[in-house]
Amino acid sequence: MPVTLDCATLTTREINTSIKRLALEGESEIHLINPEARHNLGVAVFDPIKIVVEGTAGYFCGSMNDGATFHILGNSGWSAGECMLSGEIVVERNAASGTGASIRGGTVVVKGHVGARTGVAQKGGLIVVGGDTGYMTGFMMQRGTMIICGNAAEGLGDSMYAGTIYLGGEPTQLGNDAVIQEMSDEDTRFLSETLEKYGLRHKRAISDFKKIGSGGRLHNFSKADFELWRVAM
Amino acid sequence: MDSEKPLVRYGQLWSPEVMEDVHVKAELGRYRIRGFSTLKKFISFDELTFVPCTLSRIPLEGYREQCTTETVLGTRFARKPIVLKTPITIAGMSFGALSRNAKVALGRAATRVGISTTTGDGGMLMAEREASEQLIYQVLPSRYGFNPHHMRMANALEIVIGQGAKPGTGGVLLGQKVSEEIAAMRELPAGVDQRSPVRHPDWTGPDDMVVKIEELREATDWEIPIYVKIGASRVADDVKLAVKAGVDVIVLDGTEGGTAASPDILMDHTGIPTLAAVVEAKAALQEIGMDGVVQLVVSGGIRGGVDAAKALALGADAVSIGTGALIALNCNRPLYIEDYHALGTEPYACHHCHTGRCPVGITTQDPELMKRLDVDEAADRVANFINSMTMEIQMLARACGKSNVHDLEPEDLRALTLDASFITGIPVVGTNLVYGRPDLLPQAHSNGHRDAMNHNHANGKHAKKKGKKHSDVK
Repeated sequence: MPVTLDCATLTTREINTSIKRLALEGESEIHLINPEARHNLGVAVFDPIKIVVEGTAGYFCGSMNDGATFHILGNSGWSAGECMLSGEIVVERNAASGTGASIRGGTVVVKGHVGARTGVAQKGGLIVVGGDTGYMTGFMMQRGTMIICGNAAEGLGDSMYAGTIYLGGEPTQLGNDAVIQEMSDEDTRFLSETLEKYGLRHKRAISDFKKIGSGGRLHNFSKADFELWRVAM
Repeated sequence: MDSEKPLVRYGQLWSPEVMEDVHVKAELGRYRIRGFSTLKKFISFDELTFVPCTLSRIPLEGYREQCTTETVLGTRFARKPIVLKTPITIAGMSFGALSRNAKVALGRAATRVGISTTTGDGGMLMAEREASEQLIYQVLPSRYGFNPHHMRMANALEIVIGQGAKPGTGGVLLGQKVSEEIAAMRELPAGVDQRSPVRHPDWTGPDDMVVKIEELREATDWEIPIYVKIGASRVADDVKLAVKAGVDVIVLDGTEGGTAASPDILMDHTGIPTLAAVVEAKAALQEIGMDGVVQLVVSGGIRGGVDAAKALALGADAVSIGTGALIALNCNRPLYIEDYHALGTEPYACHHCHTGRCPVGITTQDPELMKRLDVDEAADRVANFINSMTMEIQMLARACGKSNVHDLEPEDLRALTLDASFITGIPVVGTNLVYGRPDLLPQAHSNGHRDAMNHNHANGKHAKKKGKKHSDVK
């Protein structure tokens, strides 16, 4: 029987202290009820515990996570999972801007839509979006993988150093130096397995996906490429 | 035949330096990038002088009496504030910008003299953590190398909003310094021209920062202080917003602050000089009743104990040194002179940190160059320099009759120029008058000083009523 913490009667400090204490005591699952978009739920949890947020979380839910599993049954606020090292965050509905910002590992799954700068400065790990993404998604991506089943707003993959973005829908406009790359059989297999795993296989036909990566032209300054560099330096 | 002699005259507008700048840009096809700090002269602490005790005030015995230097930072919310033996910290400088040997030497020196040092863009170097008894972990917009476990190993966190050398713009690490090791730490392809972002990836603006600070406190169990580092720009507004957001300590970096690599136009043409920044910050803290609650650390061109003492007198709780510490390491020292020449420069004029070819092994990732910096000897030099600063601060404080360096105050100073008086609200030497800004620091001045300010503020009316001239006041 999972432990239940009622956010309506606890401070954020009490909630987070309880999560860490229960994890140390070997508890395997905690349910947070009445979250009411509370910020900073489950920050910097370093133990392999499952945390179910029975509602909507505010900013930074599951941020700096290393090993825990978060299941957010409602929406999530800004920057869920930011700077995560490992573990998993699944958002059943929509997520706000900065989701998965600068993650270095682990997986963030949003079954609905996400806001601007999703996966900004992503340094590893996997981000999966069932719906559309906002402006400058994948901005300055460094490593890792992102799968977007829907459409992407302006600036997708702008200035990405490396990493891979799979886009099922259409980009309003690709970002600076983001280029379409050839899909391999391995890419197709990975997409199929990943979307199947998170119940998103129905969102988009695998054959619709495009692979986007860095063109490498922003790695080192070239005065011959001024039109590209005028906004990048 | 024209008998007039050929005329060789250099222009003021199109000076040789300006022409050279155009020539270089005509080749580069971009703005210039370099390291070090501004090469311009801004208004500085040199334009203030101390007025020590004579008959009207009693000094302490300069060479004998105790003068306390202990400094505590982070008393607002943190359970474990930072305690420094002297009001000096070593500023954030990255492993990447600096060599491993330089980072470790700074850590050892800081530990030896009982102060803190600070990480930088690119994360925490374990050797630096081991060398540093008190290490401040920066939370930067790039989050290069940011690791929550390292964060939990830190003695304080410093959210970096900007740097004095380039407020409003992120840093640069050119490809020649992005070695395999640096690239691995930052999760970047080796050899790229890394341009750090200036906006944090996960929050935007002061309202978000309230939530971000709560996140960092939750992640560190409210134990350690949270600093915010701001490049001096709209100082009063920024200070108030940072205080409202819940910081413990404000680190204010003036335009003279250093950098390993930045567009040189930013270093020379953006930001507020440190002298002005500290005054504005202090006034802002006083205005909102948070002076003494939130500590103020000032950096940017602090060259020694004299600058530090003047900053303390103007309201800083501590100073932070970066370039000064690097110079103590050996930066610009006349060693390996042929390597300075190979860079097209010479000792005392080198600002080529961005090239990665530092002749003295400080701002390089080249293993051979790095060997030129012996860690123990370098740590000794930095520790000696910091000790000299401490002695200088104490000497000035004792001469001003203060048994605690934190008792230094504006009344201990006089301005040597009208500009300095205007900015600081401190009387000009020989006049006992304050020029401009009587709104600044009124409660910090003595009665005599305040009288002078009031007369000035009253535009001479008070003096006229009493039949006195301005120069007769007090």
